[in-house]
Amino acid sequence: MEVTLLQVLWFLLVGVVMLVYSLLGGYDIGVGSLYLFSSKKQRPNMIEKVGPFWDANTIWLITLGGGIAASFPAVFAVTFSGYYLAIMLVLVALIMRIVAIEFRYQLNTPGWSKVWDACFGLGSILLPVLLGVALGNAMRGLPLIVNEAGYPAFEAGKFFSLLNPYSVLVGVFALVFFAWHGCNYLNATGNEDVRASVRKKGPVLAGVSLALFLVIGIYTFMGGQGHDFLAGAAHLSKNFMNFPPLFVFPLLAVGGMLFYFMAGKESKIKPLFASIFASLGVVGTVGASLFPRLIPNSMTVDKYNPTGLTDFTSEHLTANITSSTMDPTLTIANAANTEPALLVGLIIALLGVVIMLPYTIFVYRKFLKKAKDTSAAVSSGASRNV
Amino acid sequence: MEVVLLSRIQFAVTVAFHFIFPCLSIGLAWLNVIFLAKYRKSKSEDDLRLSYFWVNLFGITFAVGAATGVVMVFQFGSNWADFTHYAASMFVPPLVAEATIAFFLEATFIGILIWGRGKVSKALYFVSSVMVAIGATLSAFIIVAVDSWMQTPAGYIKDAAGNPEMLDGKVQLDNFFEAVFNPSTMPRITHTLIACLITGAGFVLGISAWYLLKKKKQEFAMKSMGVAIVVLLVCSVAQWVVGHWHTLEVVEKQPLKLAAFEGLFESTEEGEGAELLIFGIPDQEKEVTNLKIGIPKMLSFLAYGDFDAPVTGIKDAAAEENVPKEEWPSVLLSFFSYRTMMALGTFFLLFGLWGIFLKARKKLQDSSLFLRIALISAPFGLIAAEVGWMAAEIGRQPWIIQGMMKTSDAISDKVPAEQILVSVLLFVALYLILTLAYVFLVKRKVEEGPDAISLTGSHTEGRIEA
Repeated sequence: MEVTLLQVLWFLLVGVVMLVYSLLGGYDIGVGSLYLFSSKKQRPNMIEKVGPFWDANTIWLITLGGGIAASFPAVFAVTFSGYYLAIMLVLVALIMRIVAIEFRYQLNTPGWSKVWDACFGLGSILLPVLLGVALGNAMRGLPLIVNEAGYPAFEAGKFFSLLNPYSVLVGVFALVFFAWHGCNYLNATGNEDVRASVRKKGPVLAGVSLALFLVIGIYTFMGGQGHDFLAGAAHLSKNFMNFPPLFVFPLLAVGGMLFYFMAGKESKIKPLFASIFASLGVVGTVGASLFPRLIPNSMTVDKYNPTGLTDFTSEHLTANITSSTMDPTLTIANAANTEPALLVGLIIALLGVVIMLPYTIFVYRKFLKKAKDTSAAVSSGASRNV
Repeated sequence: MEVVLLSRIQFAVTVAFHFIFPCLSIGLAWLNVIFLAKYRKSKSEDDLRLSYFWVNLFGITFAVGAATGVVMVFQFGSNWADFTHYAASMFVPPLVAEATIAFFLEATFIGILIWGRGKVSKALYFVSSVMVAIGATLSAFIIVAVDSWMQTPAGYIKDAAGNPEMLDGKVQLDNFFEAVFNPSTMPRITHTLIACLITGAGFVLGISAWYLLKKKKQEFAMKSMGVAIVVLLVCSVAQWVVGHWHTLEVVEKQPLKLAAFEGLFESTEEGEGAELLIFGIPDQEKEVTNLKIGIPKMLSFLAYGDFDAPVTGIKDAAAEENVPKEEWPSVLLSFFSYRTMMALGTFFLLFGLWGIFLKARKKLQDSSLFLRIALISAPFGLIAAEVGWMAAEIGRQPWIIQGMMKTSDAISDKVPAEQILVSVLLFVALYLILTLAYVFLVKRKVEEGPDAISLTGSHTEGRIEA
């Protein structure tokens, strides 16, 4: 088994989709997690800023799941079945917050408002934590085995073992980071009242994000590795040690968060750029630390020492899973879909993006342009818009 | 075994609930296009209000459909991990197309449809409604194509014996277009889309009938009903033709399923002719259908155009597919779900004809019997669609991929049964709550009526201080 060009391209593509979801789904979730901590006067404006977009943003999450299933189906099958209850909770959180966005302002009764406010706010808090915990566990490594049918899997028995300190830290980071990004989105698009409020919350969230990012970084490098409850993910440091230019990603993440503090208080757009660059840094850091692995095996992570990017041909990294006697580590080679499927999937994905980009940009411009003069649009009435 | 059963129950619960909403919203999406097109012509404020009213109900429906749809995608990994390992090269590329081409089109323009009132021009608003309808239809096309592939697989690499040639435990994609346009895709998608239109039309008809019975908003209700009754009749007629086409495909490709639909245990000989049952009670244990009422030789004629043609029974069809008796599909469920669908199809045809007859004589609002039946039958389209799917999916058991993979081999075998039980209960509870909220909200919106709709802003307007 050799690593092929298509596998590398798909690794990059999945990374890009993860980045786009963390940017678009990120502000969407972030606005939701701030919702319950905002005044009732600010809330309708906040909902209006995600209302037209939540659907497309959520499709990016489906595209991420579908993209992983298309490119590295073993990763999709192993994690989604292994994280079973956590995935079910992700779905519940997602459903509640989506339905809340569309239902909340349909009726005016106090009970109705309270219920859907709670669903939107709590769903938006639970969702990033769960997604972060899932990512943290995957990076830290999972106890992978080969099941009776010859496919990789892991025992989903211990739901609470997913809640190890390392992964929980990643989950909290996702929550705080998205909330910060949501602040920056509202700062760019919201009304004056909302902007004043997020300008107060933003610096705190940025500071906590930065602190958590550094703590997770240190934990990753110094916390050891393996299947211990307290273990970090030292195996993720190898790529950086072998190829130091990769440090550009964590530096970009830190730089983005620091840039936020330097951006002027009155600027609408600069803080948003800060969190966009920071997102690029964070997602890049995840990709750089994993490549060419996708899911390390926490039970054997001590036994092998991939020497980094040049280790493509190492037997352990590319060993055929189904015929392997070793406990598998999922890599971009052995977890990949068949080559024709990778090619067809890639063509479709690129075609989809080419079609989607123009109208997505068009619709965002329509809504965000009008956001500046909503009052004018409403008072002038619809009749003039015919 | 428990994991298989629980995963099947969970899939059945989540898909049956999810399917309500896209089925209804695809129908409503095209009706929105018609209503808005009428407004483009008349430019009357009443027609605009009418369109916005139905668009709003569509939006409420769509939201639940979109939310519960994510469950379906994720379940491929969470509950059907070995199916994913086995068939990812075949079924996932179409899903990527569904997400990037169809879902995004629908999702982006629905933002305008629901939140863009008074913010975009009326022309763009109309275009958005068309885009949403196209996106919804494309989404349906692709997911139905995937289901069709599982029923009549094609486009994979075969070995000399005609079995799939595996690579690392994976079926290998050979021809993407053959896989997507497999033998059952076109009849199945046509059948499904027509069912969606009937469902949407029945829903509009039922709500309009409620206004007419209450003598409220009669002009609005008559206009809506006038469009819906035409759509209902045209689609009901078409559905008989397309349904027959689809059944012929099942006759050819899935004889076990056809025999289960018909409760036919023993094959009929040449010249004997198989009867078409109107009623019966299949006894799977004793391999006999009791209390039969049927039309002699009709099944042979419908299936083969020949009253004497032999039809394969369950026993022989199962033996042909190497399916032991304990793995037979539930004949009782297949038989009755199929027959319920047929009965409702008959109802819609007759009801549609009656409605058109009344409309032609301008007496739609006068026949309180017609209106009461219209009100009661508002969910019949959904029921027909649901039992139709049940027949299609139960009848094809024990296969998850016809002839290639059994459902019992497709599961996530490392997920403990208790966890699946927890998630089943979780979804049942959540979906009950959503059903109550949805029905309550639709009822309130209908009571508020079209006059409560803002013509200049989205539905958040005027609800700021709640």
